Amino acid sequence: MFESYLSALGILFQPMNLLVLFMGVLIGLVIGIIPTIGSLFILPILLPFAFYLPAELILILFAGICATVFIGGSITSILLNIPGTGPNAATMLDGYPMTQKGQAARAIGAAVMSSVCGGVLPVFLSLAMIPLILPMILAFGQPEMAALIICGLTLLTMVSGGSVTKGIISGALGLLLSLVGYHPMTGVHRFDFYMRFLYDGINIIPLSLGLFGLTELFEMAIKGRTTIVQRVNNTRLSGILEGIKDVWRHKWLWFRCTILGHIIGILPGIGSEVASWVGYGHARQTSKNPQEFGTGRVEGVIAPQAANNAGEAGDLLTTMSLGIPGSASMVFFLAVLLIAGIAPGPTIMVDHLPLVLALIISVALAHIIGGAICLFSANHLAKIASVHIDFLIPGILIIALTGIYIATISITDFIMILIFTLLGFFMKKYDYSRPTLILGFILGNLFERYTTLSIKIYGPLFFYRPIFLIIIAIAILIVLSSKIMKTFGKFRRRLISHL
Amino acid sequence: MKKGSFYMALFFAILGLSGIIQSLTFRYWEAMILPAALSCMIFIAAIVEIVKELVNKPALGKDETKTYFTRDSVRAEARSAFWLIGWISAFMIAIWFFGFLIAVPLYSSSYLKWRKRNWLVAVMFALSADTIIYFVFEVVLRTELYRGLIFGS
Repeated sequence: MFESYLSALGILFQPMNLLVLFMGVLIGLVIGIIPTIGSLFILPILLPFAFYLPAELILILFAGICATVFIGGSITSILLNIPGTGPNAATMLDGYPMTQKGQAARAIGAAVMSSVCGGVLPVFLSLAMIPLILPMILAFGQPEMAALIICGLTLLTMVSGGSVTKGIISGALGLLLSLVGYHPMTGVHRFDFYMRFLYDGINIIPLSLGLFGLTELFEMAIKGRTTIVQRVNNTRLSGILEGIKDVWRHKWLWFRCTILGHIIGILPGIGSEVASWVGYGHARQTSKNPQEFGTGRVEGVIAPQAANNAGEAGDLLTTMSLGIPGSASMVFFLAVLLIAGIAPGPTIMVDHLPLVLALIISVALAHIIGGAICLFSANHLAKIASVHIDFLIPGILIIALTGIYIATISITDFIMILIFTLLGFFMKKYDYSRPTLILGFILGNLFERYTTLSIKIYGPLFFYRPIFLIIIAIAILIVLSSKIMKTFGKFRRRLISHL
Repeated sequence: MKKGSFYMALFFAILGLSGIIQSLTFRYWEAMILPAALSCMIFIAAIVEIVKELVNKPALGKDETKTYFTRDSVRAEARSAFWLIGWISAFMIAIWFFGFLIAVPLYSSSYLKWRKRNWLVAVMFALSADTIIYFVFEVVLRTELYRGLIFGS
């Protein structure tokens, strides 16, 4: 085990990997700063590079981006009253009022320090949990892997928004799309209509680029987002130091929100948006002056930033150890593993443990580097938010199409991107979950393999195994608990209205 | 009933039904079982969505479906979407015929001119984009960009 930790440090501290991590930090900060786009926009665009760069480079790049995107997003939330990413909306509630009171530097110092510390502590917690998780993972067989995939899809369906039936359609469609092409065991052509470019199935790149990258671009262009032109307040060093001291003054609040965020990050399918609001709500509930929240309380900045950054290490741990993404952006980590020929799932922790450890440690390093950059250049970085959509659209489209051609060397994939862009656009418009679809697609072939092998090895009663039944029971519990919570919520509201 | 949601659910129902029919033609059970099960799930879930949409009737006197395409903002959105699909398709066709190094500056400069930017900005952006992709892909990553049907070998 100790050797694995040393190997991980050896992987991470190679010059090329450190350079890539630094690039990921810069990209994450820039993407976080530009409002309304987040990691779900940039990760599919960078995914084609996974075809001709080593998997560890791309994974470290992605870890750098995911780790710092919320730090960048806090800058625009605080300075411009526009959330850089969805999870930064909670930071805006007290961050911008602090700017209005002339305390922008203090708010930024508090947000960045809280983010950095909130991102680093869970890394140590995750590293400590790994030796406890490993024996459990070794007990998993093919039926348990299949059950994990069902559990992951169920979770993502429940928390993805929209109705449950829409989530089921998305997940099932993703699984179905993964089955296009030759069946590996029997050679039967499935859903390819004897078109040669579909014999090997649908490529993950046009699917992910179309569903996420170009859909977001499409929507931005149609809605005609205009330039954000606002005067950015100067952020003096003395104010920033005051913000850093505020995190120390509220260290127990920061600690509780970090733990909350880490637990939420570990739970599959939930994501940082929930964590940031839970953190903000907790800060308000435990404050001596809850009525002052929303008027510029520094706790209202510290709590959500700690919570949403604490989720990253837990996210990564769940994604790598169980093959179930902790959040929608983690789906692209799984996509990189698939492209590199590494089967996502518990076996990674056995076969590629140093890589997993290196990724988790890289999250901590990315937070530190990103925090340092932000503290000293916040108001310069904020100017990135004024980049106009007219330049973003052709720029991103050029990178996306060039990347996809280089990855697949197939012009026919352009047709696939167009089809998936339209599908993604309408799915987003009518509340069908795109992360569930893409997760189903990534895990579809594996799910079929595990299910078929389970039937062949253990017979039709392959599910009659304790761990399998426990995992399915957890999935059913999650479905039922969300129904129970909704019913309880309705009952509580009715009771309150009667009183 | 929201027209768009109804048609989306109908699309998935048709997709599910086609999946079921196609799956039943696969020769071996290993190839058939999962596609058939998934297609059934999609079909049943889509039918449930269709029923939900039909049950959610608009208030008496108001028919959202008739007003859907008469609202100016929705028409403008549909027009923008149509033009954007056209632009993206034109860019892809240009790449197919002329290759990346010609299509990229042509597309980016014409897009910026369409968006009423001045010629200097359009040309500078086009040349920068072309230089960057050439440098990143052909020089750094040593991967040849597609030269197109007309200029390619």
